[in-house]
Amino acid sequence: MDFVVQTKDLCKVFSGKNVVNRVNINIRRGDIYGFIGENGAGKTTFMRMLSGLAEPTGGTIRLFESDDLEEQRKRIGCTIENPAIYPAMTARQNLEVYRILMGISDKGIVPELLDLVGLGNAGKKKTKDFSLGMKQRLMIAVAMIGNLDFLILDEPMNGLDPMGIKEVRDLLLKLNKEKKLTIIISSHILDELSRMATCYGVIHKGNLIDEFSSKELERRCHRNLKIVVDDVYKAEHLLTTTVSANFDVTADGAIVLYDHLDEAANIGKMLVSNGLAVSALVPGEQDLEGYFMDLMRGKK
Amino acid sequence: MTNIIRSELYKLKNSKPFYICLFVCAAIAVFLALAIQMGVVARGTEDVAAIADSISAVSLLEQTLGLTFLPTLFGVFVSLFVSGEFYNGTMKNYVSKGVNRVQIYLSKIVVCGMAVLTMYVVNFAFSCITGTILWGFDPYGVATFSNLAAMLLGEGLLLLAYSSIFVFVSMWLRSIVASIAVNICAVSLFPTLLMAVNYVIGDNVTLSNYWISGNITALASLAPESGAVLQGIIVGLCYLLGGTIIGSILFKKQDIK
Repeated sequence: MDFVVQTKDLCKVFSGKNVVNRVNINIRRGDIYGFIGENGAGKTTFMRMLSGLAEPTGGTIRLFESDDLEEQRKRIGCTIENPAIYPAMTARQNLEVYRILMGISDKGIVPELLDLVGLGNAGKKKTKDFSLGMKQRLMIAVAMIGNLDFLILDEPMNGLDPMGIKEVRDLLLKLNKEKKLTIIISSHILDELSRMATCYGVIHKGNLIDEFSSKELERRCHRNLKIVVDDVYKAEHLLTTTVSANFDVTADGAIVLYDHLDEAANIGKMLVSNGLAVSALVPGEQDLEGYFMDLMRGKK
Repeated sequence: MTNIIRSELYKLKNSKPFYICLFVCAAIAVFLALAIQMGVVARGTEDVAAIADSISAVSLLEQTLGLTFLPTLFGVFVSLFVSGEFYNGTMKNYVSKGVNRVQIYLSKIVVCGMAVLTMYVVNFAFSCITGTILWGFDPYGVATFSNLAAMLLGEGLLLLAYSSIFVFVSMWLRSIVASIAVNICAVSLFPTLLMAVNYVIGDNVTLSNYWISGNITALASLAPESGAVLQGIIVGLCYLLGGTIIGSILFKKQDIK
């Protein structure tokens, strides 16, 4: 079994507006899928449909390569929007509710999970008195109760201080590594996301506009030299035959060169000497945030 | 289904509003009995003999059960217990764990019904105990086992019907404040509205006979009018089943925020 999530033409319409529009996403087992988009892009709605909180208007969802979503959702944990916990109960009591719900007879799972998320010492403190970081970690523990294979996390870093962010990140990486947990995570803290995700999907106005792996991102964001010439085909030929360069051509016809970066002047001279008009020769390097911003501006 | 009900019961066991409502049910029974006793004493020695001849624990029961206080309290409790799931967002956890929505709804009906009956029994028990201490349980032999059982079971069924309506409203509105308001209106305002409509349409049909509160009042008697018990049972079952069926269908189609 390779795929944990497969959606086909998934749609959600609210008041005549396509909030999620024909989204096709495939998430493989063991992936940490970073889901990126502006506010209102459709990330939360997509996640709500995955977790059964909202009915799709159209399209299909398959979970663990099965159409029996109700049964497969028993293997899913999710935290969508704010931490959903009983404020008048302790962390242990909160977990007890779900332990009983899932029919788990082993009471030892509750302290085990509390230890795993670093709340083993929370004691009799009511969750209404928890910090946001503690609430988020408790929510992750709640999500993990049961036979968990897939975790849906919507903005789990929201409102956390740097220490809290690190704690949640370390926990998720540990779960992914040790328990082979597949995770889909949305966050506006793109730098943080880039430290965890193994693949990414970018959603814009309900449409999935790009999907790439972390290796692909690394390649796309790698230090590069952007060259704009009047004849792209000739330039491609020259770069391949004369310097065996590693490059891409973007949709708007620019050449992005990934090697020979220290020889920018010579490359420019070579192109010009072969009759090409070079209108731009710009060095660049990006992180996920820069890449996303460019994508949103339609530059990529 | 058993696991969901057990999980709901665990929440009920740890619910502070539940214990507060239990306390209020007990306190109101004692308070009512003491108020009647103080009223009797205040009337002077001549009247005391006449009035004292008619009061007992069973007559106190009749008075307590006829009040709208208990259903109002239950409406507030159910709103807190059920709408609280939406307020805290915890309903999302249930649904996203693949629990069947109809089962979630039914478990709310069952557990709220159990909570309401527990409060009812506490109120009944404290009325009996206080009334018996003050005046004796039934010194004038008014009650028989069958008419007492008919009154208590009939009232119990009607309170379950109310509970079903309260759960329906709370699951539908998903807001604590709104569902408390609507549930209180269902107990207090709606019967008045029915009475007003009855003035307009005439006496051919008595609308209050078809609403729960009218039947609660009719059944809060050891000597109910003929047909009142059967009518109360039919009305109670209709609202109990109707609220459950319609509510579970609506909840199945509802997006959860």
